[in-house]
Amino acid sequence: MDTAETEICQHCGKPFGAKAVQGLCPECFMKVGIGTGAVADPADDPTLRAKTPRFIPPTREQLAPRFPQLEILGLIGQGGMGAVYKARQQQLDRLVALKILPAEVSQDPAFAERFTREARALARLNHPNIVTVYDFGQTDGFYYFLMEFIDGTTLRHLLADRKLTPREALAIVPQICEALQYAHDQGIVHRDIKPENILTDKAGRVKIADFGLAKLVETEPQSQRLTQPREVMGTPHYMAPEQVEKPQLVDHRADIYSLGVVFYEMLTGELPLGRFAAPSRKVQVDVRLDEVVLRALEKEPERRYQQASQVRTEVETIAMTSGNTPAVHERKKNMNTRSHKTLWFGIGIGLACPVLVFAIYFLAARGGSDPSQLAREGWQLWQSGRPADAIPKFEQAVKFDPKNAETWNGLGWASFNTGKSEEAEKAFQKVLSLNTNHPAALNGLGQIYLAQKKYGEAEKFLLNAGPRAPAAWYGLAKLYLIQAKFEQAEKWAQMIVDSGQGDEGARAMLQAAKDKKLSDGLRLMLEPQ
Amino acid sequence: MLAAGGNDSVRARDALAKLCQTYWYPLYAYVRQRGYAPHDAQDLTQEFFARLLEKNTLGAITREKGRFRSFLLTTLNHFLVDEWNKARAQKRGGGQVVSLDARDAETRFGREPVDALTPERLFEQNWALALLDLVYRQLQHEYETDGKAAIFNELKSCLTGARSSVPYAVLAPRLKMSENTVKTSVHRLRRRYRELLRAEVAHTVTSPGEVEEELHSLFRALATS
Repeated sequence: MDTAETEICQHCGKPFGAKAVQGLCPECFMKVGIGTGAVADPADDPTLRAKTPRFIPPTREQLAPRFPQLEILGLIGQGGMGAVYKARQQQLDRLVALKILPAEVSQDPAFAERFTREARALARLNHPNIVTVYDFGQTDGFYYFLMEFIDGTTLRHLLADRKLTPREALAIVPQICEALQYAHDQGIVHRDIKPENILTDKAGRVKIADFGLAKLVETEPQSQRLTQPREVMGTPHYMAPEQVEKPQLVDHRADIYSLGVVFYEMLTGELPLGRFAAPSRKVQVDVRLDEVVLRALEKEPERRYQQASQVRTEVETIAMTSGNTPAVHERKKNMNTRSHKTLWFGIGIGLACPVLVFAIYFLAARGGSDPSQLAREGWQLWQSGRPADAIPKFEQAVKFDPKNAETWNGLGWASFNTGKSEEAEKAFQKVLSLNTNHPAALNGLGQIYLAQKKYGEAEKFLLNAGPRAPAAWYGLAKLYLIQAKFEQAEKWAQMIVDSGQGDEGARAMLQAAKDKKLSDGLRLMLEPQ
Repeated sequence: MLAAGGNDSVRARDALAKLCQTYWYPLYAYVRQRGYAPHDAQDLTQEFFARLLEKNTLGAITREKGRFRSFLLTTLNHFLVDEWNKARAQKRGGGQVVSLDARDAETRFGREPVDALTPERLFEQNWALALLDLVYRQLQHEYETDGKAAIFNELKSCLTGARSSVPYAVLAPRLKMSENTVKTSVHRLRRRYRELLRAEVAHTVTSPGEVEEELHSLFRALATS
């Protein structure tokens, strides 16, 4: 491997430059070490070789003579629709993505004609949220597209790590809608919307790839495809019911269904399979999102949203009006982070909701005595790690709007984080007087009593907050460990770890609970001083 | 299993010293992440190891179960809190200690991995990188010692994926081997790599059953970046 190739792993397609272990992608290196996927490795098991006739991407050496204008830098991805290479267009000195379609498509005599017709239509798509097609053609039996190179990652990779926060999902969805609406207006249906085809660049812009390719690459009659499912079909989970049942009737509303699946997965980390629960029953999100997701997922196309732009409008309205009620798990501690990802999600939100941004500036310019604006400023300060500065904002806001539980909740947390337990307790009590079941306030009171070693009280409140406030699980695990109630401690610590969000501390607690023994070091970390 | 947690002997201390050597960087990076300046972080890491290698602490570690990595981090946290308290007490004449912990309880869990890699996450990641680097060098050394440096260099790209970036048909003439021999060599290289990786991880856990679990959690740490 030369240095140009080490930037992006040839196997997983992820960039790894700074973390390279002796020039190797550490993630793939570890994967091979563990042995994951080893069974499918022909070198490890020769008997497997003949059974999987899959598309083998051409090597750089095979491609180079066919594309003299390009410097092929490496393979960055492959799937049923072909293989994608990172390349440099030497004349223009720009990076491009070269997509090679599977060789089998050229065996279909009608393909050449269809390819030219469809590719022209795709190349005409010109939209900031759609990967631009620069050129297309055929050379020596290879059908190819030359496309805009996106320096970023796919939504699949983002989701592989964890589920997104509602806020991130709300920044991404409107951009997908814009791209879809634009393409639908041009009469083009994507037909294969899934996280692998949704890219995000470093500026947080969403770019949809492979518009219309599903239809183009489809080489067999549908009836035959159904009895002989092939890799080309990709995963069926994102397909609208009519794509399977009545493929000849598929229209742009199939994309809206797929968007619904992607949206659901972004919010919950799961696919909406069988009798699935509404997102807000699984995670803490605005309940209004349930309606949007469920309507996009209607089985009958007639009952779905009829236009992608409708989804966009609804999502943006929700994003704008729930700005001051962040869910517990989407609060951010470090705004000055080294990770550029925050920045691009931030910019993403900015791009998605220009109206919101404008509204914030407008109100800020007015010097605002608007309570919801004050509360929003309070949360922003709190999120950027300045709870002390947030207190006056919340205090002022509750004066104007004393019946707003969320604002009292903000005052509670800001006070708690500045060590003002009494004020915090009062504020949380106020929240509960307005909404007896407010999980964040229940958790807040639990944490206060935990810090004051009032374990009985702490337990009561944390257990009440429990199912809906993951932050309370941490408190419960800690509480039971301190009290040497190891079985209960294990249950909650296990929940944190299983949720995939646990850190080293959570795992240390789980281990201690399993061992039924609290080390001195851990005790010192857990017990209030 | 865990050599570093074995008998309270000179041998055990040597093993511990060796582990500290391997995993020095993840600990240092963690201290830096906690907001210490480079110079202070170096001093603190040094001091931490010095204390760790003292008999008392070593005794404490050997009684602990579980992964060496987790306990090193817990002990380091304990140590940092300790040092921080000392420094504070000096500055303010032993004033009241504010519970940072309470604030942490709410925010640490809500922290988003994408937002900022938490110091703990980064620690795990650096730990995994240090481990892989060590195993790579061991593997390379073995091949070099056996006079197979050329084979190692040609085949090392097979250590990251199902396929080599260069087809076996191209590698075969380069290595003056048949294609089948190349395949066998790749198979052997991977097998040896897996053995060395597991042997190294075994030094940091208490029972053989924990090796796979540790490997998976390190893989997850790498995959979250």
